[in-house]
Amino acid sequence: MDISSLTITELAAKFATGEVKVADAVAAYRANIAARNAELNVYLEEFATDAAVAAAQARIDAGERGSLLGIPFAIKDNILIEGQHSSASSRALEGYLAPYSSTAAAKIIAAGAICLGRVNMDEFAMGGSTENSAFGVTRNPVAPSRVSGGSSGGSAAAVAANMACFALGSDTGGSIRQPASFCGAVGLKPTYGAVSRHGLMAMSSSLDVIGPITRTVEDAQIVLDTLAGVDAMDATTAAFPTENLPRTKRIGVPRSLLSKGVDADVLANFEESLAQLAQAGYEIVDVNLDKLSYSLAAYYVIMPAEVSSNMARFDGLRFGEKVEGATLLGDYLATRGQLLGAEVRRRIILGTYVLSSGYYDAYYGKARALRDAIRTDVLTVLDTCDVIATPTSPVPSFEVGEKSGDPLSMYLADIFTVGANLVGAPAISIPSGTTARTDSKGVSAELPLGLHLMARPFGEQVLFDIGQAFETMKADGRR
Amino acid sequence: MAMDKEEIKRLAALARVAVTDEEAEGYAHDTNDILGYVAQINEAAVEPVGVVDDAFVQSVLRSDVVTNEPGSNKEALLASAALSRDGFVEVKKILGGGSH
Repeated sequence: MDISSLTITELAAKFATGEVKVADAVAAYRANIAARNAELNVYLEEFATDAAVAAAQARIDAGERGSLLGIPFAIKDNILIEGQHSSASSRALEGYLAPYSSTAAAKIIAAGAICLGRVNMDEFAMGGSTENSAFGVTRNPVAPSRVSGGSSGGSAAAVAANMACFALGSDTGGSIRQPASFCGAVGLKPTYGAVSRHGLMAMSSSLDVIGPITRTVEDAQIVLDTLAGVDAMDATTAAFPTENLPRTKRIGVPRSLLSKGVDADVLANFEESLAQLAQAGYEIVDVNLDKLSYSLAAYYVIMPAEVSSNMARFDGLRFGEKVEGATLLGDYLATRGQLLGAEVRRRIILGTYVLSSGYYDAYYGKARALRDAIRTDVLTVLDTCDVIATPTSPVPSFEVGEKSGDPLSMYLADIFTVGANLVGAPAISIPSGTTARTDSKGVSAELPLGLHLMARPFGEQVLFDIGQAFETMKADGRR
Repeated sequence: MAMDKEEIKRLAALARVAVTDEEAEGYAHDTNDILGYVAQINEAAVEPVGVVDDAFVQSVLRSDVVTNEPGSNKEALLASAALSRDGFVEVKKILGGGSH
């Protein structure tokens, strides 16, 4: 038995019977990290302690049972754990020690889960490939010439390479779901406000959310159950409604969005997924969501605007690294100019532009109005459909360096995921199969693809129900 | 409007980010690409409005009471600062002579 490939449910069951000890599990992940981290660049730092392992084992030995008790996980480098380094994969925060814990990490750790360490990401979560990390790209465990996706690429790779049982990531425009799809894992972006962001480094505050990357839909649900809840430290948090949402057993497909720019194999795999869902008893219907096709354009106004504001705090004075200038202004210019990476500065400049006097109405005002129109359209469709289905990404994982010189082409990979962030809706990426590709060096690999489902806000249960039905169909198909 | 190198440098200065001539050139090119794509928001039949009230997401304010001992986390937070003195973050002087 390979302990490191077990799901949360399976591992917890083995802890309960005593067949596997917490230390065995930690050792299994550590062995995989030792074997492949130099090649894949997943972990930036490991920090599980023997004391934490012993404490979790003692709780299990005393008869305590908890879904996450003793379960080892990886954390994205922008989610704080008190006393640990947290850098958002930026040189601007090298050496920064978190003075307090994020609510998300605190809840998971209080449940007995063991943090193995912090994992790589695009700098300040800005990117779709982890190529924007100041500490180098995280390679895809399935096809190491390719990217793991991003920005939570380290989190997805940690799960895919059996370097953790699950991982926490953050999602602003697809940063949990796209890397999960590229690496063959399940990625859940919860409803905006379902999970506290206290202690998450803010990128775009009206869009950011913390969520899990796991092996199964059931595992994603288990982690969300622990993460979710109202937190006085994040005023946007809200409780899940207690009544169940009505179900229609109908799945909406926005066909007009699929007509261009989608890889042929991705499209064929998506049609196959729809056929399986139809077999599982769901009615597949075409839905008109024309405004959703503008979601990426609206996103690339709203997000940089919020980035330019949130990133103002990195001035070199209050935390992180500092580059000396001749004056106070010189300190700001030098610190931000030299320590923030190219993509971060690009977005700060773009955000400054769309918010500047004379352009505010043309860009920000219009994008905000469009966001409301998109939200109204999507919620109207979700009155008659349980979920909206698309592929997670229009393309499978690309090669390292393939898109890094062309920011716009990188942005277009978020086309199917940003809508859920603009709406505040929950969405999940579930592995839907693979497509065989040969890279520029002639190496072939089976690249994972993902099915993307979006439900109405606080409709996570719908995603879990359909997701598990889909997983079962896929597993049966393989047998 | 096409973005040029000078406009990028003006925006970068507003955002307190130093950019070199070469970087400004590259950012001008990228920003024009991105704004070209973003321009499609003008095709969508939606009237621009000012600041939109977010009806869907509501902020919930907690009661206005102090929840921690005054100064209890001051040291931990100041430990992150590049320079501090007497419980304050220290910065370069912006008025008059002297350097701090």
